[in-house]
Amino acid sequence: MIERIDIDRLTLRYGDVTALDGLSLSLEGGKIYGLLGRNGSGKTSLLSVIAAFRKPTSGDVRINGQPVFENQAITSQIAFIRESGDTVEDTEKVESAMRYAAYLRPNWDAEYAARLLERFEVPTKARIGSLSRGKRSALGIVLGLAARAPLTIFDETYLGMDAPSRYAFYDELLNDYMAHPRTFIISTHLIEEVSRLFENVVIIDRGRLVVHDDVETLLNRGTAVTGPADVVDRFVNGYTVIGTRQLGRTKSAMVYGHLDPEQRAEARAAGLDLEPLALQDLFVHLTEPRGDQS
Amino acid sequence: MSQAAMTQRTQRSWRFPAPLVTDYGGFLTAVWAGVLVVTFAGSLVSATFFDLIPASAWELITPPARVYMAVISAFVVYSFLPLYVSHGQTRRGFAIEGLIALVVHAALATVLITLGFVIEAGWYRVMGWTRGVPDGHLFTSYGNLPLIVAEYGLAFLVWSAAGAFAGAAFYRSSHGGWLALPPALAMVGITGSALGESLGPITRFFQGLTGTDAASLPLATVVSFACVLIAVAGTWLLIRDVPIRKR
Repeated sequence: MIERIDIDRLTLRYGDVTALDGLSLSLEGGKIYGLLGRNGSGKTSLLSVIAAFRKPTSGDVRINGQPVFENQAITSQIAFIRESGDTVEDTEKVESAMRYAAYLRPNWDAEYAARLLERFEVPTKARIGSLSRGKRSALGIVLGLAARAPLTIFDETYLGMDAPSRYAFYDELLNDYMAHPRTFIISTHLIEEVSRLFENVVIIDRGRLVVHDDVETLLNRGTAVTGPADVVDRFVNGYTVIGTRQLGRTKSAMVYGHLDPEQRAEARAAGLDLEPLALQDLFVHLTEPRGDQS
Repeated sequence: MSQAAMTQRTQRSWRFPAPLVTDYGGFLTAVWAGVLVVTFAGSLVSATFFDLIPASAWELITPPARVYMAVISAFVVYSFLPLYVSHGQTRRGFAIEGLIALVVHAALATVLITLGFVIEAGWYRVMGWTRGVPDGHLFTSYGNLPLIVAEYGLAFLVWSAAGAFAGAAFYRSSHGGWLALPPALAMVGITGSALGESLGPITRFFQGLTGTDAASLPLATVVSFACVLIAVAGTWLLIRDVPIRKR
């Protein structure tokens, strides 16, 4: 069981490029986390260090108080699936990938793996190299879920998968999480599609932590104010407006910042509708190139 | 997998690498059987159509067999290190299991090569041909099986270790990997010289260093194990903190 993950002043450099820049973060176990960030923000680098795929330049990652790198007691509890999963060579068959997973994974559930392969229609006799990109991603999902690792990390594990397959993945993940509670970290660009799974969200940008909050609190940071354009303009004057949409005389302004009950009552009295912002809109605002509003 | 096996895998960083050993041992055995048939068929063709009977047909496959051992070892490190780490194992755990697999694989290859000489004895007897041992061996008769086992055992061990070292270097850096080839070739060259092969400058260097031009099992054993130790240490230095790249 993963009790907690503590990341302390983590820095990772590739030559002159700083991928992680003194990032500190603590995560409690037993939750589903969404890790969001723009391209090149350092998501994969962060996950690679958490899973001991890379040694950090400086700083520390501890799980349950123990260092991760080259610590068998901890690494054996982690499944990190990048895109379509790192498994046997392309010339090998899917069944060979399953065999090595069974050998190396302490909690491997072979029956569950077989069910998942059937659900995602991945033929066990097929050579890895002959699989389509979507099927390779599905294979990565099978390797990640059937590992039943206390910390399971999926990094963009949907590439090439069609919508029904992606929804099947979300259903399987949620069902398996309910049946076998553990910690998931999901890094994705399909924010709206996956956000229903998240309990907590971590947003990073340029190797630094931007925000770490539970989804409800995060969504309360923004409000969509909708109504007649002139009334909306009057109401949002003085607030941080991160975007607007207008259709005829009806306008919707996205306001960043908490609205207290009095302000909400004032808006409703003026005939305005208030709704939480979409996670994706908040994410875009929080990671704008010149934004540093954490 | 039993609960006991799971617990063992969680708490220990290594165990006997049965899948690696069976996969590559099985492949090696299949290759050996194919090569055996082709070699003896080739000797028959050679004798029938060209009136050329090799002193030992099986002897001809021993140089490529050494290269095969190096290539397989390089492949195992290059391919299975990321697989192990991706499945939650440590680099240290892989290093230990990889070393065990390498030793078992070299032992199996030694048995198969020796068995090839034994089968060849029967084949030559049936055909009425006579065999001769060329220079460059510790043994002077194909009947001296213990010395054949010793010679090929040491050679395969060193070629495997040198291959693992090169595989680790190429995994660490595809360009820098080429830098590992000269020391890897030096290790197999020195071992070959210690086992009695004549390899030009490297053999002259080795003979100058040891002050003898006579191959002996004790000296070859010391040299071979020293080379294996260097190759294994070099492999560990290369993989101990290597980042795991995406496939």
